[in-house]
Amino acid sequence: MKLSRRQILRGAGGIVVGLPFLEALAPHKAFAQSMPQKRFIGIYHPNGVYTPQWFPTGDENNFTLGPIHQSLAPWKSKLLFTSGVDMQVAVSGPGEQHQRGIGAFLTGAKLDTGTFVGNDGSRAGYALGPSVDQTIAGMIGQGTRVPSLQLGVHALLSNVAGVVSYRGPNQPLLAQNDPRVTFRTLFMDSGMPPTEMEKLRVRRRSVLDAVQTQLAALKKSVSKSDQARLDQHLTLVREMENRLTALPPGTCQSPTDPGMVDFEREAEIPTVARLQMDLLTLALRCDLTRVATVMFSDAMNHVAMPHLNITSDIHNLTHYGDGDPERLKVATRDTWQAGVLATLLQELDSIQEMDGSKALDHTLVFWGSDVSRGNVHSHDDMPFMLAGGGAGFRMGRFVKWTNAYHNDLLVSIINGYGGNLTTYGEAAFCRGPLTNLT
Amino acid sequence: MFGLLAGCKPGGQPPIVDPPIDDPRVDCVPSVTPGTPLRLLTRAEYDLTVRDLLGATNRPSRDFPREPLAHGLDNDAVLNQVTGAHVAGYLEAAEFLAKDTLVNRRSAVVPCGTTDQACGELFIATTGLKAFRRPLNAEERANLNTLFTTINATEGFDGAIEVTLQSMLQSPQFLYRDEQALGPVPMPVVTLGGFELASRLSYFLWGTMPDEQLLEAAANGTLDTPEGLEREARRMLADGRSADGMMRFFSQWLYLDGVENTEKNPAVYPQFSPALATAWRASLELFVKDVLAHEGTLSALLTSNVMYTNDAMSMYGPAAPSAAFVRNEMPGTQRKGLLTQPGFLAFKAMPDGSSPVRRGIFVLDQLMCEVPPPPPAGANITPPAPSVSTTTRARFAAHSQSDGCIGCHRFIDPVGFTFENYDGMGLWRDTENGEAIDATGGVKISRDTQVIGDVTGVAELSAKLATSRNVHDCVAKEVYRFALGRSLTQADTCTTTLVGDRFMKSGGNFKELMLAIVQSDSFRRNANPEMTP
Repeated sequence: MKLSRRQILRGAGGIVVGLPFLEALAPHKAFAQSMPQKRFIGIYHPNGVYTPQWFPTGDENNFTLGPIHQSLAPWKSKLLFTSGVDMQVAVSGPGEQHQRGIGAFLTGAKLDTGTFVGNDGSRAGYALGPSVDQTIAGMIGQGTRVPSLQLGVHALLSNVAGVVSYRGPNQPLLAQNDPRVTFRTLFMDSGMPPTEMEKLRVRRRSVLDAVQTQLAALKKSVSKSDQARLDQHLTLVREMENRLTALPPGTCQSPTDPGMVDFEREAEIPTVARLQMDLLTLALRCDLTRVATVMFSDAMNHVAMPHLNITSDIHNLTHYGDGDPERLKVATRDTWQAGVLATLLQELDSIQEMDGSKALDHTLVFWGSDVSRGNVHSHDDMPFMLAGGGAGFRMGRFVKWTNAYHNDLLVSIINGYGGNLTTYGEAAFCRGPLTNLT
Repeated sequence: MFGLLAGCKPGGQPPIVDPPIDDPRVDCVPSVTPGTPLRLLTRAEYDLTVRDLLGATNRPSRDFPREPLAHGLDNDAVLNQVTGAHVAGYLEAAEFLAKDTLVNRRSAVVPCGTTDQACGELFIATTGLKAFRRPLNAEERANLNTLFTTINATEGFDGAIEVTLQSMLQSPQFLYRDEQALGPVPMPVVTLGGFELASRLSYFLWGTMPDEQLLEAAANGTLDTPEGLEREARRMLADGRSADGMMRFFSQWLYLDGVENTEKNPAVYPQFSPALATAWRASLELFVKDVLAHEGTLSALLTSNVMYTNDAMSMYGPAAPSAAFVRNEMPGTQRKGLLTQPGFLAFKAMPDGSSPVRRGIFVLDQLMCEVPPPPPAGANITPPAPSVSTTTRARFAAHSQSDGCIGCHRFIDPVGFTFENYDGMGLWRDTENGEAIDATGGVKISRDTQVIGDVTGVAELSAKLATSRNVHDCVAKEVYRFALGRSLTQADTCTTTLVGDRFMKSGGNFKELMLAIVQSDSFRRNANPEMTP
């Protein structure tokens, strides 16, 4: 019988090996750029929120943060809350409400009809992407070590309910949940002596050149759709060759390897969240990546959060009525999530750009969910929070629309990164960029 | 395929009614269905392939991206596409594997005692044949020879072997299975050549690359005749590796990863520990392997009285002195078949209780292929809160009475209620909160009238399912989908019907099922998607 990773990790005594804390060895200045670099981070939060404590009170420019967002108070002037933005595209189509919602969150698209089982169309396929993070990565991510990161914290499902990032229709990019792999992705080969590194580069160039000629050879004998897939593969190999042969940013030292963490266990959620977010902020500091999505569990979300004393299934907790004390535990989770984001904003606000501004002024953090309220599975009045100046929106506001389409918010986000779109995702749910943002 | 549960129409989907099960359906003409595109090796396939190619047993694909699942299966060719993370993973794995092989198992790849150019070329031809699962064409051989010569000049022979091996392991000819047999002149329907068929066979039956004998059969034309194909397939099914192939299907069909990651509320189940969840998975895996090794039938899968336990699972009855698993043949009817295995029951449950719904849906969806549609928009699908004064059954029965729910739950719940003798840990119980368990229920509607009827407990339910033609059809269809690595279309219906028929007539023998799939037109031939209207 195979020895599972967990068995190795737990060792004979069943004790989880202590993890070193990541040491932020990177400088507190952003990696030298003449122009501040734009960045985008999408945060997925499952099954809606406890709405009575989520939405601010007050009017557009003079509002009070809800209880959930108290930890974000220092950055209030850099936040934007929405009211009246509906994820209308997710109201109908294949799949159930959570699947449609998570699929549409960053794509504005419907789900494919999915695996043929009974002609009833009810089986969710994957979203007919791409997602905004991938579109933005195409605009600003080039030349970085990792054009985009998809991170997860206990986002273990490998189906439509477990993915927010899409390269294209039916091209889901599943989240990486293991901080050790995140570390390797970002900091592979760092710390290697220069002479050895040089030898490795020469070898890799030869190997990857040969791989590219083999890709070209195979292309001659496959169908047209497969030729397109091999072209995509070829592009990725070329990109990697370029990255590997480019010198890594010398000012950025690698952090300590986080080592093995039992990332599939609920008890490790806070540890994994901290490690993943620490690695992400380091990567942003070092300009190893500019685009990321982070999923905090998946849309089925049958998890407990022992570190918050939530010992039952959160998906089920979100189904209780608003007055039910059980449902208040959802607010506890939402508040914890806001705290995780507060740390992210603090980090971004501490990265000094060459022109004196802060990285947060050039980053957009987009926090959202698959439904607004789990108990009715509504896609109306979605709980969206935006933070930072990346898209050029006027921040520090609580903007109220009436039955606005969330697709139009996605259009506005893309346009904030230099796009010139009128639709994104399913065109029937687009009226043009959202008003009153810039 | 799917008789929509009549009266169960949330969301307003039109009912689709398949013919009743006893219709004569075996006079259809199978159509040659659209071919599978290039198939990227899954992580499991990659690991077994490098085990057989290089003797590497450390699961180097561990850190590759997960496969997006298609209704539970990991090998959908359309969904499995290379990403940047794949390319980085392939590079790291190839560098590790090439070095590891040369240091520890040099003779596995170096075919001669000399270190000259001729030996290098022999290495490229022999290892290339195995890695690409067919002879290299002139262009591919020239590419590798050039690389070998270049590195040989700077690093010497072993360095050149290592680098060339790295390159092979990152080549698309290794990473993808090309099973299209598209020739220079496009044809609407093609019969797969020997090497394409050999790859299909070995990855379906064994989950890994062809062995030497299979490559030989591909080269000498044996696979081109129905008799030769059957002879080779039977040889492979008799080989121990066929259990690996079948286990790959069952691991996904049962979602063993999910079983291992099951968590319980410690306030309700203080006996729970992650080590127990690991044991649940292992126990369930051993159970399926046991059935495959002995009876090898669907009926045995549903009715075998075997249960594997170790010391972590002593709460289930049989004493086991250590972490090593013990095979128990259980008396009575408490442990009879897959649906009574602790790992299955604990996984298909809530963190703080049993779940008639999850268990009922498994039976309807994965054994009967008669899954109800998802709940309608706006339905309150909050499970009833746990209680210390009533039974789960009573709570769920009251809960499912609302208009939006009753349409489907009157079919789901009676199936799930037969499991109520098992709590959220899969432990047997006669009472719950002081009240006697009521495990009566059963299948209320199905296109297969034979399974309909009242039963008490899972053993009786399983006995009915074990002889159902519909259950055999359903499982056969999933194995067929697994074999082809693509979603099915209406054009597959005739073939899946014929395959299901042979499966049933063989007494539900899994090896005969696999053979029937191998012999189907869909497996041996391809319609060219670019020439199909």
